[in-house]
Amino acid sequence: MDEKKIRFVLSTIPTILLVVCIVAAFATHGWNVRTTVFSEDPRKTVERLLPFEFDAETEFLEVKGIELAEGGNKLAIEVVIHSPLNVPMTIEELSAEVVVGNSTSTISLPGKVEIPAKGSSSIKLEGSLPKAGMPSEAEPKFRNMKMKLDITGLKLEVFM
Amino acid sequence: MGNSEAAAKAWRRINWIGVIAGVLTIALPFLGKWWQLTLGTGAVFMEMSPFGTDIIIFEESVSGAIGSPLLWWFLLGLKLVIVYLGVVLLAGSVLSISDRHVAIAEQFIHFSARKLLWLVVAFVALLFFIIVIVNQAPGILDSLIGNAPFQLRSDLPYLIGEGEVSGGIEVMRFACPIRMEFTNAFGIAVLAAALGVASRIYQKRLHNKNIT
Repeated sequence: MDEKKIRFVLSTIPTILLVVCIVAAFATHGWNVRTTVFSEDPRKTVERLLPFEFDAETEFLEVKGIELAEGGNKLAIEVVIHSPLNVPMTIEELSAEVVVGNSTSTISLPGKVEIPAKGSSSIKLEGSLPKAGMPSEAEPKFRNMKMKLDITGLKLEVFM
Repeated sequence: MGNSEAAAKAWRRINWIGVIAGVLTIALPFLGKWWQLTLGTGAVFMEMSPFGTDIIIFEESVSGAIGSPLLWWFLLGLKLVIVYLGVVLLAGSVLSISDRHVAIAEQFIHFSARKLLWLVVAFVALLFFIIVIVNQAPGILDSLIGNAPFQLRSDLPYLIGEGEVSGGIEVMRFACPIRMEFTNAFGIAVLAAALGVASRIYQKRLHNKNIT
């Protein structure tokens, strides 16, 4: 075999290998361009990429009860946090202003709380009330909520 | 000339650098990914090589979901091509032993010795280009959109090291540390590529020595 033929054969084989593989891709997917190029429905792909479920019905934050302590000077709110995420997360900070009637109080989380993947955790937010105390019949309203989350190293700050 | 002396001379005619480069090149597609990227402490983990990409987002592998079958087959073809190049380099390096096949050996080595180097260079250049684009993107977006409602800051390391991506909108801010590193498989790829180039130079010397 002369030099030119050897050179031709050597350089043709890689091209043949690649072409055969590309033809095999189409052949194994019934010569359908869409199923050969995309592995699955793009919507399903997006759903798989997101760490939470689209149709999650439970609310992220659920207020369970409000307690008054120390003669009405301290407010404690029990909240259940439902995590829609497939991974555990840590609530590093959580604070909010509670408005009850004319009184405003700031409540916050005493320490970090870990929420298991797709699980729930009950937390207690505490804060001092103004001297006037809280009118018992008034409905509390939350505002200026601030939350710091750590989701496997991804730091997220949310303001509501 | 005695038999043992002839055998010793024949052994010396083997291009040993090419033999090692050939074996490493053949093994390369099976040694794993070349480069890793970690977002956070494992929120996103990505491994890349010219032979494929693995992506794990929040502890779930999504490589199958985002990878295309066509790409999978193309990468299989690329793996076969690299193995083929390794076999050709190995064959050329061993064939140098025979006077009859020395010209073919020369061609085999000439054809296969530098190809892996181009693959390694192309892989690193592509990664570098992507990182440059990602790092420049926030500035480009800023100049295009002006007072955008969102902010983005990208401080990615160039191929190796640690950095951070941060940004947000009015009600939400995020910050994510990023770590990038090359794996041992990349080290082997660089070694195989370097030995491939060296084997070509060595083969020329060997050839000139045999002529004289």
